Amino acid sequence: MEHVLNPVALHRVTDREVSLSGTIRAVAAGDRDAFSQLYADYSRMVHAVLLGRVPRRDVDDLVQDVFVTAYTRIRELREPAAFGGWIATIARNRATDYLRQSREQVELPDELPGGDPIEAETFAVLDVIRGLPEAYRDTLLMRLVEGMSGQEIADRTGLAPGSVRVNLHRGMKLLRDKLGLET
Amino acid sequence: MKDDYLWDPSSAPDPEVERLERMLGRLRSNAPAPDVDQVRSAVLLGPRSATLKGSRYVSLRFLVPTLAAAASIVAMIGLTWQTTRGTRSWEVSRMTGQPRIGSAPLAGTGRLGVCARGRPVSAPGHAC
Repeated sequence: MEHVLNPVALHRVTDREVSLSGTIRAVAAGDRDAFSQLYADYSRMVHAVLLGRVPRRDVDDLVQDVFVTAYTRIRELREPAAFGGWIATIARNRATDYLRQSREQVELPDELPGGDPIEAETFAVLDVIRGLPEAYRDTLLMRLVEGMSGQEIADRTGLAPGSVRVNLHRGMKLLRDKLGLET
Repeated sequence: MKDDYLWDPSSAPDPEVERLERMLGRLRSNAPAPDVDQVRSAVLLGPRSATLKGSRYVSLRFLVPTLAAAASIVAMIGLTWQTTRGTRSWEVSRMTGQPRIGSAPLAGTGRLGVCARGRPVSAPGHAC
């Protein structure tokens, strides 16, 4: 009889997962330091997810909103190891709400005269990345804006390292093509 | 293309990726974590206040339709009250003779109370 390996059954609980589980329990109990630790570990990922969707000037406020929502709903999280995917979903939903609410408002460009010292070229590249498929966009922003390594992206998002590597490779290839860079 | 550097920033750098990193790294944020005490008080005030931004926008968005609906209800109540209060009356004037309503003679002009179906009341001051 042929046996099929069940990846769930083979899954070993890592030290990182044990640590994350403890941190989440502590946050649920109201531990301020544990909440700061979660923020330190996951705010770059949340920032990247939001930056790929909403104007930069509102991203910091929305990051705060996402963590407030996560804090108030953390008892709903059944599987601590799924925290990364869970908070990324909160961030995506928050971005969708933001865009729906601001649809009737006049959209200001990311780059305002005299307001931001960041060069126009930076925003032009950001716009190109925003036009990429979601999986490539999020992964590239985590890597190029937030400075996260591939392994770190996999750890935070809950994606398989192989998937992150593929997303980085294909996303970077698309970005180079769109920017007219040589490969 | 050197994908090793894309995966592991501590490996030999790819100049193009490095240039993009330097450029886009300016968009990074150093915002501090939200204050847990502030979050707790927001939670105590209710789920709407737990979102620090956006609630003001939502309340303003619904303010105009809410006020319009309230004004319509007040106008309907006022109109209904105006049309149903007391008995209606016709303005009448004598053309010839001495008309009487019940035992009361009608002077030159006056108002004649009418019931809901348009029939005159039997006498001034009488109910329908």
